Amino acid sequence: MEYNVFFVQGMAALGAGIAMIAGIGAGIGQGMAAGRAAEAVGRQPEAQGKITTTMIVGQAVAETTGLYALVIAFILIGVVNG
Amino acid sequence: MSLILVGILTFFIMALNVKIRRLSPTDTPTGIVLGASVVVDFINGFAKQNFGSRWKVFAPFILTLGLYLVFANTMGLFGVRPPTSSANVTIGLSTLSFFVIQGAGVATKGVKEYIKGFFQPLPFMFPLNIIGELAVPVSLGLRLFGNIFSGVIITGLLYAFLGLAAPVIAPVFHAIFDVFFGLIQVVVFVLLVTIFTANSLASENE
Repeated sequence: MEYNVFFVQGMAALGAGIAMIAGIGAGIGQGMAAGRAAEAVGRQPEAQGKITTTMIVGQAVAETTGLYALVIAFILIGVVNG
Repeated sequence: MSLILVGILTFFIMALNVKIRRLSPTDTPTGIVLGASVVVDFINGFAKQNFGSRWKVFAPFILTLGLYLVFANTMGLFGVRPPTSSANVTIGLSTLSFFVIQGAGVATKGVKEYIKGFFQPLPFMFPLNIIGELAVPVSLGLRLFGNIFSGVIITGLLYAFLGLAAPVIAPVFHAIFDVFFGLIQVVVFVLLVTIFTANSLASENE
């Protein structure tokens, strides 16, 4: 098997795609946070404002792992283009 | 873009300063001065909640950080690339916050007590504590960069994909990626810097 530039570029593109599997974790985490927040609003409708703020801040922090994967994918795409 | 933004903000704040100086203490503030005082009051209350009696040192830093980020993150609305979509800007900001966090620890605990803090639960935890401190600026910077940069990429793809239909459909996505995510990231960044700084301060015995 021959290892040339095109092989490296193709593998880098593949790696970028595989890296984005990490998006599953962030998605599940955010969904769980939103579900629990909906439950909390159902139990205590008067605290909706506070629950929404807490949920959004928590989700933004939970999103970070997904964003690390995104940054790695961009770095790998830079290999493909450069 | 970042320099232009800082220039505009500086000019605006200097103009505001002149306006506030002209105000006599008996006047009721109106318009933009009133808005500025509401914002400053809000930040002061937020700092008092988190820093206790030392709020006066940190409130200006928080407000500066927040003001810059609010405008930097929403700059995509004006058709330019937001400064925070470059990793250099966000890592720079988070490195600045890192020095503020560590400096706050050194200044309030004293050097001896500060170094002792790294050996805190058990002596062999030292490398883990160092890594934990160094991970803070990396995660802060990359979080902001990833969010804003992904917004730029997705809106860019959208414009390329939609072609002539872009002016009709794109504003919704600008509202989501520039305004909504941008402002949430400002809140998250400022909140995390505040919490880390408050944690590194020595506990007050009052």
